[in-house]
Amino acid sequence: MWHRVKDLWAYNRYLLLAFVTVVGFAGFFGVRATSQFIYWSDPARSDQSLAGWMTPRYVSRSYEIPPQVIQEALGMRSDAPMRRVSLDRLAAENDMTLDDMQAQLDAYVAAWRAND
Amino acid sequence: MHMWQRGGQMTDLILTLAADYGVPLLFGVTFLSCLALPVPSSLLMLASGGFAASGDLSLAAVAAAAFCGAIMGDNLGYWIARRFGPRLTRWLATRPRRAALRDKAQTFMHKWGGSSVFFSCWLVAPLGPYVNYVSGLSGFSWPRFALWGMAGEVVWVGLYVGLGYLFTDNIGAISDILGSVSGFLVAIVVAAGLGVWMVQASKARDRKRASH
Repeated sequence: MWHRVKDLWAYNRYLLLAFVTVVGFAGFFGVRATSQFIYWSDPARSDQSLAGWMTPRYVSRSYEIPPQVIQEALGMRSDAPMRRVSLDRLAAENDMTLDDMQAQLDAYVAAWRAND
Repeated sequence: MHMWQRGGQMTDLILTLAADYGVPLLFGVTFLSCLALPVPSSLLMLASGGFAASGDLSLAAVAAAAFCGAIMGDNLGYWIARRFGPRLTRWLATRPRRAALRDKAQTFMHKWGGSSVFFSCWLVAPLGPYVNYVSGLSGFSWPRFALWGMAGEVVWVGLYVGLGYLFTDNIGAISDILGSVSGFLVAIVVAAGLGVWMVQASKARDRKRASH
């Protein structure tokens, strides 16, 4: 084993260094996957925060809240037809930021869950 | 911590377009990703699976678009390499070390071609486009390439769209974890490849020394 490493260091130095680097990457990703798994297993993090790409229906599904409640929380009329529209576009239409939307949504979700 | 929050502008842009352009966008993105272009295909498949679960997109259309995009990308990559490969191969053949590299690629594909194509479609997807190019370059049989590729893409699309569909409540988490697991697997496979190469080179030197 040691003889092999010495031989490689003498003749294939860059290959050996590349190998060690890649093994380092494997360790890094392995540790990261484990820590992410632990991080996301916490039930307190089950509500994902809003992102510009999401749609009202997607948010409704993700938060497990009826679509009408979500429509209202996102600044639409609750009886408006459901559309496939990104929150980015919706925010621009309603002159809101995504943070405003999140704050409003959190309030609606808390109220709805309290009544449920 | 969310992929969306730390991801690049390109990722944000493509994801934001998903609500407007849905299925055609997914087709285009999987197509380009199979040609080694840096587009967020796994993320978009997860999000589209989520949209299918919430009723914004049709699950069948999402799966079909991702699958067709991937297959067309794979085969285009293969044929580009096969068509323009011979020029490169002639250049490779001008130096003995390059010629040895080409021969090694051919021997490898002859022995492991099918499984390389299959697993590089989904298990180590970031390596997929390069395996497609090497397949075309080494003249690996096209029917075998196409069949193994289709089998692999069924798994790739099924895995990512399926996980997006099932874990709609937290795609950020799934995407983070899958990204790391994928990085880990790619690193392991590359390390194994480099390891075999190193040990073979070193053993060859041992034999040379022994014969002197």
